[in-house]
Amino acid sequence: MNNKDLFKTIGYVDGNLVEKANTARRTNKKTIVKWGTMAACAALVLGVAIYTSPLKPSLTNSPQISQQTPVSAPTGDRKILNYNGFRYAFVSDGAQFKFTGVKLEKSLGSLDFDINQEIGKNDGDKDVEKNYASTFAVGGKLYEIPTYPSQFRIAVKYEENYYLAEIVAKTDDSTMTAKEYLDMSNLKDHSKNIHVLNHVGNDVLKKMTDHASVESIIDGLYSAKTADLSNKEYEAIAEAQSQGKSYQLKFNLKDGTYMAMYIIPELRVVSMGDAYYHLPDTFFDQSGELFSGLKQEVLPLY
Amino acid sequence: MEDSEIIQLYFARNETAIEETSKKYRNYCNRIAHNILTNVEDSEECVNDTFLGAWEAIPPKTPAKLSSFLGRITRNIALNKYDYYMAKKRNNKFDTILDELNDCLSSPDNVESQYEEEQIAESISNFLLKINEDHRNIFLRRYWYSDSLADIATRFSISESKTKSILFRTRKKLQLHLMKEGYIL
Repeated sequence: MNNKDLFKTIGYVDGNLVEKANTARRTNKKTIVKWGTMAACAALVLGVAIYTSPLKPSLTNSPQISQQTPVSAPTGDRKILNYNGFRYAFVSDGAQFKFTGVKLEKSLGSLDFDINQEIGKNDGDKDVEKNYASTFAVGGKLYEIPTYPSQFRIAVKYEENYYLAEIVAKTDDSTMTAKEYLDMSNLKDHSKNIHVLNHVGNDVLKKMTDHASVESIIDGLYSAKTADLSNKEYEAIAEAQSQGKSYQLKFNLKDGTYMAMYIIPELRVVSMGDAYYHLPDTFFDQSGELFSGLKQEVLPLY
Repeated sequence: MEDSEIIQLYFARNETAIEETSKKYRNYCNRIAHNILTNVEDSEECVNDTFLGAWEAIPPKTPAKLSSFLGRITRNIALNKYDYYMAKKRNNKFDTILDELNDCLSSPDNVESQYEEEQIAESISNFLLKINEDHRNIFLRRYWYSDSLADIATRFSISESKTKSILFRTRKKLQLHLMKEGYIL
């Protein structure tokens, strides 16, 4: 065999690996390793202290992000910000969060523009897409969260409080594929388990805790295709929601937070961020019992 | 259009199969061909041949992954054309990729292999599954997609020298793996 034969032979490696490499970027793991190394260095520096109290968990704790204040009622404008060409929504409608075991050191700039005021101006509309424009916490500072090197989630520090913001769309409203969304969120690495809840999210109907099954559901979501919905389809989604056919698909993450999608099995659609996606039948075939026999009380529409 | 639907068109001998394949995968195949042939016209011709090849191969073949199936045909056609086209104008970049692969062989001019390439490919897949995910993707970007070192470095946010060193170590590990598995290439 010569090098050309070997090159040809490599052509026959597992198509799944080849497909993954097609859109591969640096994984999150590197950063974790880096943090691990930094923790190891810190451990060396603090060697004596660690030695005298080897069970102290502070350095071995995995990064946690915990919500400090309740979700406020969704009144007024939606709390969003623009950064790096993406629209971020404040998680839990602007609740405060505490970051433990995560250092927010890398500054990403500050929220300099108030979208509400910009809209009021004569030529204000152009600023709705502007980076660093926000409807909430204007003047706040943005920080990278080390466990999200893709900046799918970023932290906002405003008046000594921290908030969490998550990508929901691109600011120019161009298409974001399911793959882009799932890769950026690194959902596969972050997820611990999956809960299926009623649409409003106060009743857990099913749980999936087996790691392989959770991974397979997330793999399945990669097959979702961007849905260019017609008015009729939007109406069908609204109708399904009002008839109790829409469920919340909640991914509980290792850092203590969660990511939620809405899924309507009957219409084969799922939401990721602000967009809807079509799911192929095979997704439901492969998802076992997760979406079968679900029932929820239909809630009155407000 | 979904891959499964495109494959159905091939099975129905419906010529829109090629049209749909072209719509979805022309850019993908073009890039693979261009990385090897470094010439727009040659690459386009290669991709057209790829689609023709797919038309001839499906059926009887039913590709599990249409993208890698088409990519593989593109690579093979490009590689065949490479010798012909490059007799005068050598593509140094692709030559380097081939040279690098000598690291995995016991002798660069080895005689006919006694092994089936699918068998060896399966063993390489097993090897790739065991190594670090980034290293695996970097290996495939280089030796499946024939990406330049600069492109890989940018994609993975690392330096070119780091890319080189990862590739070198992975090639050496692969050689060891293949030897352990009984393949003396």
